[in-house]
Amino acid sequence: MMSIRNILFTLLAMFAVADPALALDPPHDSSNSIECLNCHNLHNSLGDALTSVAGNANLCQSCHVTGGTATGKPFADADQARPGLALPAGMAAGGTSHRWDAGPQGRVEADSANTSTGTVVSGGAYTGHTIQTYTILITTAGDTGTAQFEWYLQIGGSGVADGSGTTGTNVALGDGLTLSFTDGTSPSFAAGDTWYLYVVADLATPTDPEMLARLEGDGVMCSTCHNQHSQSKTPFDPLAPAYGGPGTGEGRHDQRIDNNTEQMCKDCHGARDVSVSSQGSHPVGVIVPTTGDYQAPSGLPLDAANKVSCLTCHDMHFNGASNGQLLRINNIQTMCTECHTLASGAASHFSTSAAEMWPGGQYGSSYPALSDAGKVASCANCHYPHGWPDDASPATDYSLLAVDFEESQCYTCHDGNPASSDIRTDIQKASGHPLAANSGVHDSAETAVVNSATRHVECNDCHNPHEAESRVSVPGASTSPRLASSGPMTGVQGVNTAGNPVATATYEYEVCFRCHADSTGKPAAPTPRLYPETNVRTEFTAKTSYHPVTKVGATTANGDMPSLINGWAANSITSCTNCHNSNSGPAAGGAGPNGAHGSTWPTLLEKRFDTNDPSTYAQAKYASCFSCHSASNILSDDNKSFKEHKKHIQGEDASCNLCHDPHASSNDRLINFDTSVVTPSGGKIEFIWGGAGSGSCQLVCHGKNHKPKTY
Amino acid sequence: MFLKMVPFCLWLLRCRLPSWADMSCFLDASLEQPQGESESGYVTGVVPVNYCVREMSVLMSRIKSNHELTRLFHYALVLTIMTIGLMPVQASAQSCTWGGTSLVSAPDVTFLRAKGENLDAPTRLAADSVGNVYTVDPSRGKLVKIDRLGDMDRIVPDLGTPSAVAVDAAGSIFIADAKTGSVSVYDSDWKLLFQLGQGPGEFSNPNDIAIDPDPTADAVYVSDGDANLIKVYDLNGVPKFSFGGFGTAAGSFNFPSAVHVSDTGAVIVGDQNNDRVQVFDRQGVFQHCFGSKNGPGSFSLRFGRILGITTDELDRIYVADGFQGEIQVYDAAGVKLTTIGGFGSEPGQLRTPMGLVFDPFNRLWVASVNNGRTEVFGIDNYADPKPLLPVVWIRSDTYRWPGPKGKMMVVLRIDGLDAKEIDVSTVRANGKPTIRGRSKDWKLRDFDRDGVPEWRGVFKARKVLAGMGPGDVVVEISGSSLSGVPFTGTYVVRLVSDKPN
Repeated sequence: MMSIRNILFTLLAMFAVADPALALDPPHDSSNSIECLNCHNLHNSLGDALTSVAGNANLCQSCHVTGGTATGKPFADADQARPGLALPAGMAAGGTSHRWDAGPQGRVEADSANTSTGTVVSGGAYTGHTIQTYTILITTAGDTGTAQFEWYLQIGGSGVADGSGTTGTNVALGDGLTLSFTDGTSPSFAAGDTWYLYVVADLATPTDPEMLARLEGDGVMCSTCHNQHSQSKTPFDPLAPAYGGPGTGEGRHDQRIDNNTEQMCKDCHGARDVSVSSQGSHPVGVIVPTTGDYQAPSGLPLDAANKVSCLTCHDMHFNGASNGQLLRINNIQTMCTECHTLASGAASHFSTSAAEMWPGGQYGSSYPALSDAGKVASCANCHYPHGWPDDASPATDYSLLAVDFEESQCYTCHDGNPASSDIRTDIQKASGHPLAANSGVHDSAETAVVNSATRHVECNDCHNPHEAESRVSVPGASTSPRLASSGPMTGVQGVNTAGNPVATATYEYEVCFRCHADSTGKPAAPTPRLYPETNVRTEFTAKTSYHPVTKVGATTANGDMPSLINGWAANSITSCTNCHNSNSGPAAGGAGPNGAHGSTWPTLLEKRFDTNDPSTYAQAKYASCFSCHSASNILSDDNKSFKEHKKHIQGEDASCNLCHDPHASSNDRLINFDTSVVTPSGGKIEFIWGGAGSGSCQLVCHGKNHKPKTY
Repeated sequence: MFLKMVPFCLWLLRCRLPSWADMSCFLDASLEQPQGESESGYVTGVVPVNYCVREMSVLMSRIKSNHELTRLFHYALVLTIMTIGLMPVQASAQSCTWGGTSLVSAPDVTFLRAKGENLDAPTRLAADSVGNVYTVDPSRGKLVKIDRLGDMDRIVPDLGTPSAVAVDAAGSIFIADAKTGSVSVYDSDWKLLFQLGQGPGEFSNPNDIAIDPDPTADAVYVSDGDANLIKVYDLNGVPKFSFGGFGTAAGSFNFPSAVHVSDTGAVIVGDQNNDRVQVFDRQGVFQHCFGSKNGPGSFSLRFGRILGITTDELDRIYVADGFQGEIQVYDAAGVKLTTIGGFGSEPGQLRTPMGLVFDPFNRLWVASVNNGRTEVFGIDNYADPKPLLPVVWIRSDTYRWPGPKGKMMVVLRIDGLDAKEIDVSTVRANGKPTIRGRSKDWKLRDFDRDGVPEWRGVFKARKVLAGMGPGDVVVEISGSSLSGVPFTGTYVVRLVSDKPN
């Protein structure tokens, strides 16, 4: 009785009694009372796949509208993303959803004030490197073939027309784009009418056959990414339920292809994936490091392989921010700091009260001015997560996702506008740190000591933009060395007094030691000395006499330093920037920035220090020394340190530099003769200090033989 | 159904179990049959009809020869007939009317304009008795009110997710909210008066509101899509009754998406997923329906997605087909007359048309969700109130100050408006009427001989210019057209103290 035929017949009978259902998955199935004929038409259909009109989105939107069958998930055309970076002035950014009408050819919208009856569409595939808007303006009215037009670029545009042409079919715009004009009723195009062509960079036609077979007008439509009949493909959403076979899977986002690790996005946005693309972009498809300046994100989802993916930062539909960027977290700063721990809370660049917004590139970069107040004090002022084309070689991006190159990036704000400090003017003075001498040499991973093969200086060598803080105090007499651990030099590596690298410099001099101490390939000293030394670290740590930069001076008894004034004492500590500073900075009584950026005086001195000899004495010539050492004391007849000062300086027109080394000397009292002027007497040049106010010199100078002479 | 029961009955009767060949007679031809020889030696697969008949008669004779089996068979037969008989009469979609010829003329349609200011994704519209039009935009949570001239009156923000709107004869505004499932009623100052029923949660998906145009009926009908019901309340929000329910029978719905009450009291419901329009009386008693999902004819004669319904003064029914991007016009019996619009984005075209309303000037307003604007069509003899811009000049243009004397002649014309459309009895100069305050004070003639006639009215200078001057002063000429559209124009005259009199 229980033969195969019996069983099969029973089953077949039961099957025949019930109405068989097609294997659709929810929600587009009978669970929502949806039948095939609600969307499909058996005969005389006007659209593909047996739908009634062309317009795949139109079909979806007839139910996905507020008040419709899918009232909880409405998709209106006005919800589509319009990101703000390249929008013409007066247009608002907006949109909560990935577009469903977009492709590499971009899209054209007519201005609402147009009266033309003709239409404009775009074609081709945009090969440009940034998001862009082309403003198309009819200059001569008429029909196609007669009407003339011009176009203007929004990013990198010159303000005058970037091109012109005659209306027609497939008129080339450059960058792979074409425009096609179609007549309406004559005259089709009115002079002054405007169209806007919006394009996004790095879009390609998908290669996946399922997606490629479902493009509408060379661009995506709803059914390109979504399969309205099936939930079997795996979505990115880590909270989506598992698929249990036909008829299940509600809440799995109806994917067309799997999207959990090999992102569907990459098929069109392939250039974003650094593992396959040569262009710069925020890394996608990489694991977030947990050491160094990184941490695992707590508010952003990683993909199934624990890697950063497009959907880690972006959100496809119903985005909360409604600014067209489709970012999961609206505040850029909050989002970047989910993974990047570079930012310090006290840093000026991240202070909402102190920071400015990127004013638009001025030194080559085309990154436009930011107008969204939510971007003040955020990463977006200096970085563009998908890379910005290098003005010098537009096929590549600026490194580190910056929007300009090295010092130009800083100059854009720090040229007096909008930042109050004008560093650029100082750098470009006659004696300034030579930022322009090198480009592409600085490496954020370089060693603390900068050596000859890669000798360079950039802003980043002395300043960490993520940690720099403003500082009110100017250099002056102190009892301890000037700090780098707060202020504009916070967070930079240095070299300590022992010659060892330190990851974060504590003292200002440690930063200077990177290039002016143990480095090879330093420039020659300006004055030939009896005891030559170009290593400033050795000078200030290991010499007999030295200006007290790293430690108090060799003699701390005030009696031995009778000339000190202006708050300086024998146990004071000075700093590099006390003498080497801007000639127009606050310590010099000017309005310029404090710091060793540049000066009109040689060797980046804040004040004048003439070294030519002989030179008729004038107090102003040695202003650098006279800040701390009293001129009247030194030149008095009764100078307690060397009573012959007046004779030498005023009588013999000698400069301070002739006898003294402003940094340090192997001999006492900073005596380190300029050997181009001072010559041996009896075979040697010698100075012996005999204590306070006494000593002897054996030398020949200005023709005068000191055999020796004593004082 | 009965045919499918036969093999089951045979199995019950424990007949010789049919072979594959037998089964092929009764089962769907689309089911695959194993190829090859059956036990009885017949080639299986496609089976000729006469073989089926022979096998059937063999089986029947076997049944007849067995008395017990015959009785069982009779019981089975009775049971089957009773089951079929007790099944409710399904006035299925096939029984709605479709097609035919109508004696009603199709409307004359004139596309007037597209209006999109301050709208992103408008879904529904309402119009009040003076011609203000209210549009809700649920994606932005706002309502936009424009006056009959099309000028912006106000924008009401922070309305949540307004999915439907209606205005009653007293000017109260009914707004449905899709998220809270409520309908709130506001007065003209936008003060909340009350909510229908229990307020939040009264509805699952309120997607349309229709107010009975007869105030004595005291009824407002709300279409609740997900509940498959039309819920009826009085104009104070007290529930009266509801009708509908899920199904394909007459009076049942599969997602009602629109409701409208005509001037003659027909309650018309868009039964979206059954692809038909059903007509009820005020009490919710089914009258007739038209449309069919499985009916004959090409798709362009059927509904794609019914999203909106309204009627005109001749009781023609206008159906917004959100899928095909057109408004279909039917007579009251459901015979199609014409279509308005078509799918597209150009002016006059529609994308996802949803809201439909007639204003008092017989203009049809259509909310086109995905064009982000409304299209306005003039139907039959419509009026199209537009702002009027009068051209005014005054003679003389210089008067004595103080104490201007004499007559002031005001010449008035309105470009684009027939001079006879100006209601001269309403014209005032600086608020003052003509010298004798009568229409006879106005003459219509082509005073400047440019081919277009003007009105000239006589005013008393002393009254019009009282308290003004010296120097240049503005005289304001105001009035309205015969259809009540106001206008204002100005002219500058000079008051001088040395003008000889």
